[in-house]
Amino acid sequence: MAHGPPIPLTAVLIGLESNEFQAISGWPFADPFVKRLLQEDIPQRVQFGNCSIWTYRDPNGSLVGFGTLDVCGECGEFTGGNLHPYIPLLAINPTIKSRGYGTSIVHHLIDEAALLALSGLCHDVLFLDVYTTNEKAIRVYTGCGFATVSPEPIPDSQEGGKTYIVMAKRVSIAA
Amino acid sequence: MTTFDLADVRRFTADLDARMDQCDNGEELECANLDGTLRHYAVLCCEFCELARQWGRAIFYGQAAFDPEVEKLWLDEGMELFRRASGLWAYGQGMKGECFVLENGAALGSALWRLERLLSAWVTPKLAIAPLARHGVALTQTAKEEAQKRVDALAPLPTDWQPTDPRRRPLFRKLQKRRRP
Repeated sequence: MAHGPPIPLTAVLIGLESNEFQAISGWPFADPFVKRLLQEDIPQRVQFGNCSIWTYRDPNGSLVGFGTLDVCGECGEFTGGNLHPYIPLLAINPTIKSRGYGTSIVHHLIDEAALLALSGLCHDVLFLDVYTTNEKAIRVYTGCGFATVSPEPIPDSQEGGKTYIVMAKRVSIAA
Repeated sequence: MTTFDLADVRRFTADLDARMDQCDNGEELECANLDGTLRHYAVLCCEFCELARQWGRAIFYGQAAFDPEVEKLWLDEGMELFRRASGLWAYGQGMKGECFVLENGAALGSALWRLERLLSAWVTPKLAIAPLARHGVALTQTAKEEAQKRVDALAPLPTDWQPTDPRRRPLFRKLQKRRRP
């Protein structure tokens, strides 16, 4: 649990061939699903879709986490068929003590999604999906203004029936 | 192209081959000069990248089955296109001069950069792990209608919102100005 305001992080856009991507791919995540997503889904989203990857450094220069943002059509049925921003994955370096880094990373991804929407490049609702067992992440997303839009948990048959929810946040600015 | 099966992709690569040959032989009107040839190859590189990416997405989202022969076809064709296009681009760079303006050199350079990125960091596509990508939002019709209501009701960001990252604020202000009537 974070105490006090989140520490400001410096975001750096990285590519799949960068040393930083190699570094985050080697992190010992407690949940093997995170590593699988990072090593299998994210490279495909970058190469075949519109996914960007950022790493985040704290004021001491330590690599504390990463975040990803795609522009895709996963939830297109709720956006009139338009492409929308989507957070496929973010994670904190499992070897360090988190100090609210997750919140800082989510805020940065909201920034980037808002800029994309403001540019007219995609719909103005940012989506993500999260397993219901990941209560800590759900708390972070809720704290950043995301709302659960799926009325009921959705079972994922390929992951042993684990259930997930879809969360969303509007990233356009009030008129 | 809709199915991305072997026959479908073979038709595309054969067509691409023919269009490369036509241009290299100087038979097409649009390739009657070097600048036109640069433009033509820029178009071919962009078309190739876009279709190869569509193929990858189709497999990732479970809309097409992976076939290693199709992947080999994409890679072989991509490498051949890159070989020819980069040779042409280098020739164009050598021909540039005060009296020889090649407006499409930059377009081909940019298209080549995209093609090189696709090929050098090649990723073999496979079905997504993330559930949303695999089967979309798997809800009943009634639940979908409720979800739509919730999406529609999402509140916008406050009027005084600005990016948390100060480095992004200039772009934000510029985009905001552009959006204002």
